[in-house]
Amino acid sequence: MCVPILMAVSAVHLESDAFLVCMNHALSTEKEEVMGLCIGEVEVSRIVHIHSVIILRRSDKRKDRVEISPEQLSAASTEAERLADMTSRPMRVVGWYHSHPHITVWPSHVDVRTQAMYQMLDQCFVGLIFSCFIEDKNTKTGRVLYTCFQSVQAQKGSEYERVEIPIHVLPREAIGKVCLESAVELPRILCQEEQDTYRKIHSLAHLDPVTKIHNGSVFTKNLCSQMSAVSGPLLQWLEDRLEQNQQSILELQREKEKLMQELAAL
Amino acid sequence: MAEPTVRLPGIVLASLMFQHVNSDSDVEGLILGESRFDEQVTISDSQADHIHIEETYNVQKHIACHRLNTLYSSDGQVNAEELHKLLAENKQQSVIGWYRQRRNSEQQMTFREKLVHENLKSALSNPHMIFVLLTPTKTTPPGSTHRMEYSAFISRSRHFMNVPVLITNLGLLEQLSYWKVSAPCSAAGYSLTMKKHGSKFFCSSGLLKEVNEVNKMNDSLQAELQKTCRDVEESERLVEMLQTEVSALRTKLRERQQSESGKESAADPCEPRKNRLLQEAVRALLASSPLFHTQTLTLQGLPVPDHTDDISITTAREAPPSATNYRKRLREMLPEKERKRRRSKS
Repeated sequence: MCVPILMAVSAVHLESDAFLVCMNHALSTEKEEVMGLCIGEVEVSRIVHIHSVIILRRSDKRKDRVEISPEQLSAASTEAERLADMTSRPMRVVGWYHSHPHITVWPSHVDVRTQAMYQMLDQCFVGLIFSCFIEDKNTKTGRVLYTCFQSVQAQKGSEYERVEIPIHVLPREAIGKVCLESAVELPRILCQEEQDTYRKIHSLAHLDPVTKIHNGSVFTKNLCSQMSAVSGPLLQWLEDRLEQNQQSILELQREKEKLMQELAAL
Repeated sequence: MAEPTVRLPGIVLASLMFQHVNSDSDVEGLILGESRFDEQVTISDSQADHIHIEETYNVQKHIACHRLNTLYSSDGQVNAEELHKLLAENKQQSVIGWYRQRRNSEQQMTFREKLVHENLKSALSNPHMIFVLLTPTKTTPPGSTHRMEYSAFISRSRHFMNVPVLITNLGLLEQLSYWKVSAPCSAAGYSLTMKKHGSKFFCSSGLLKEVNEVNKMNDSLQAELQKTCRDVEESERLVEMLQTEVSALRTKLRERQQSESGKESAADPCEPRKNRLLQEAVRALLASSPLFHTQTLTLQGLPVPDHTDDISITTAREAPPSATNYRKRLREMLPEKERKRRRSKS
């Protein structure tokens, strides 16, 4: 007989602007898994409400080794406190997300174990996975999937198994300040990673000038790739968004004047 | 001819998904970018030179229609005025297609979408246009997993075909690796060459000039991103504030108008509105049978005939109501056609 498990979390509500940042982050590269942390609050109804996300650097880029260091968790908590002050809401780190490029959306056994570990610290901690760059070669249809899960001890043995948690993306037409700042953090993080790698290489003492020139070219080439594939399109999108908002502002101001005139006439 | 490809930046796909989750209905709009047709020549020993045209559609952004089904009429004709409104400031040249997002539906173009696509090509005088279809669905019943499928279509001689969509990302660009060791060279000429040309590449600090310059360029780009981000943030707050104000004004105006019309109706009660369309529909669908018209019934639920025939009234008075009597009365009332229809149904 199956005994229903009462999870600490009944559902996850993800604000659409936070969803935008996660999706953009997941779609930034198909070569490796990306990850980040979710900031929000847990409501009395056991609903985890995610207001924003923090993009993280991955120190271990091996396949399926998506783990958050204690320093990153601590930094994220500090950021959550800053958000709590800004919004006057009890914000904290409520979950993590990562991407599965070219692979299934379901969490691996490593992901399930990692999630179980976080749940030991906070039973309301949730995990999100974004699966992208999936293509059906026959129909030439691309696919993006996202899922939400928690972990629970398996009935038999000491292993863990996943539990599906309903996730709803809440409409929010305006993009929040925190989400915008997170979005532009991505190119900065990518550049920093590249600069750190280059600095370590360049500091090696025994390299001859030709090797150094080659490595300089590699650095230039990699940075150009980032500017072309990430920064450029992001800037384009921001400028378009600004133009669209400016147009909306004009229309809304016209409508506001018209409504005020109609009210005055009554 | 090589297979056409649509290249879509990740941020644009994320933005399209963001737009749709904020709407409770389908969304559609125009796609702007650049289409390229490059000649590629394949030379091979086994066959004659082969020239093929590589078609690439580079999507740069999308413009959403404010309201659904305004870009075209119900028969698929493009609304030129609406198109002109969407494409202010001569953006017409950069329109390379249009898109639609619809929930829980198939990844197939509808007949109307095909019509609209052909008409849009004529309206914009662009024979090479793409249609991007995005269809989100809930994969699991509790809603723990969601899927969004996307594909692009182009038409060739009114025949529509799928073309692959490539999400441009960092992973597509080859990441070169750094050299961690040098192959030692003790040739005198080699060292002389390095010394002679070294200053062109290296600063006095030993850092590479090229690295400095690209870092400066990247810093400038980051600064632009930060600045535009701040401008967007300001504009988002202003839009939010204006939307709240406009919404409040609309409510206030509606309330005032209602209270004004309430005063008017108290003074002059308007006649009750009749739903004529419903009445006509009922008449058309249901036969003109007296049974479906308003009738007066007795306390026993029997219809009171319209005609004031003494015999029928007397019959009604004399015989107590019964099922047999009711059926008989019904027979008398129903026209022959109706009786036959009812018999054939039973």
